[in-house]
Amino acid sequence: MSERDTAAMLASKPETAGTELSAMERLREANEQLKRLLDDPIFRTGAEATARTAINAMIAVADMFPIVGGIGSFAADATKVWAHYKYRFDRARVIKAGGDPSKVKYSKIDLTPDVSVALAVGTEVFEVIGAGAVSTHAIETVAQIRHDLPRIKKAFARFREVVAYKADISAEEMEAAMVFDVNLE
Amino acid sequence: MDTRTALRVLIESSDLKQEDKDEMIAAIPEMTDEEVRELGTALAKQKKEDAAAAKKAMAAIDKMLVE
Repeated sequence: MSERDTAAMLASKPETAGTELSAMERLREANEQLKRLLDDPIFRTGAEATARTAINAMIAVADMFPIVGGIGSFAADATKVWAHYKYRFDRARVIKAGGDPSKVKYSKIDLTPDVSVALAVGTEVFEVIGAGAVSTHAIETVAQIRHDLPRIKKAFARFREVVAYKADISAEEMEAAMVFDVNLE
Repeated sequence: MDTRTALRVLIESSDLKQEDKDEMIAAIPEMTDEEVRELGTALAKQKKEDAAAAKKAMAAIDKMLVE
C-alpha cells in the first residue's frame, strides 16, 4: 500500500487507520534499522560474538552432564577442527592458483575461533579423567570470551552512537512538534 | 511555523526511507487540515517516544559499559 493510499485511508477511518499506519511504519522502521546496524562491521562482529558466547555458555552447561552433555562439546570441537583445516586447505589452494589468500574467510561455524585447536582438543583429556562430568568446553568458552568481550563492548558503544542520534532533537524539530501540542523537551 | 511546514519537518527528521519521506511530503498539499494534524501529532508523539527510549537505552548501555 502506497503512502497516498494510506493517506486516503486515514481520511476515511481516522481512528483505526492511524493505528495501522503507526504499527506498519514502526515495523518497517525497526527492520530497516536492524539491516543498517548489521551492515556495520563493528556491530555485526559484536552480534556474532554475543551469539557465539550464548551458544558456548549453553554447551558448557550441558557439558557438565556425562555422555549426552558431551555431545555438544564434541560437536563443537569437531567443527572447529574441520573449520581450521578447511581454512588452511582453502588458503593453500588459493596461493597455488596465484590468488589473494587474504580473501579466504574463516568459517563462522567455529564457536571458538580465537582458541587454538590444541587447547580445544587437549582439554578433552579432562573429560576422560572426570568421567564426563567436567565441563571441558567451559575452558574454551572462557578463553574465547576474553577475545569476544571487547568485541561485544565495541558493538554496544556503536549501538549507543546510533541511539544517541535518536535522542538528539533539534530546535526546529521541537518547534514543529509544539505545533501539534507535543513537547519534546 | 504552520502545521504543514511542521509536518514536513517531522517527516524529514523521521527514520523512514528517503523515498517514503519524499512520497509523504509530496502528499502534504492534498491532505486536509485534519489529516495534517493527525499525522503530525502521530509523528511528534513517535519522536517523543523514540527519544525517551533512546535516552533509557543510552543510560543502560553506559551503566553496562562502566561495569
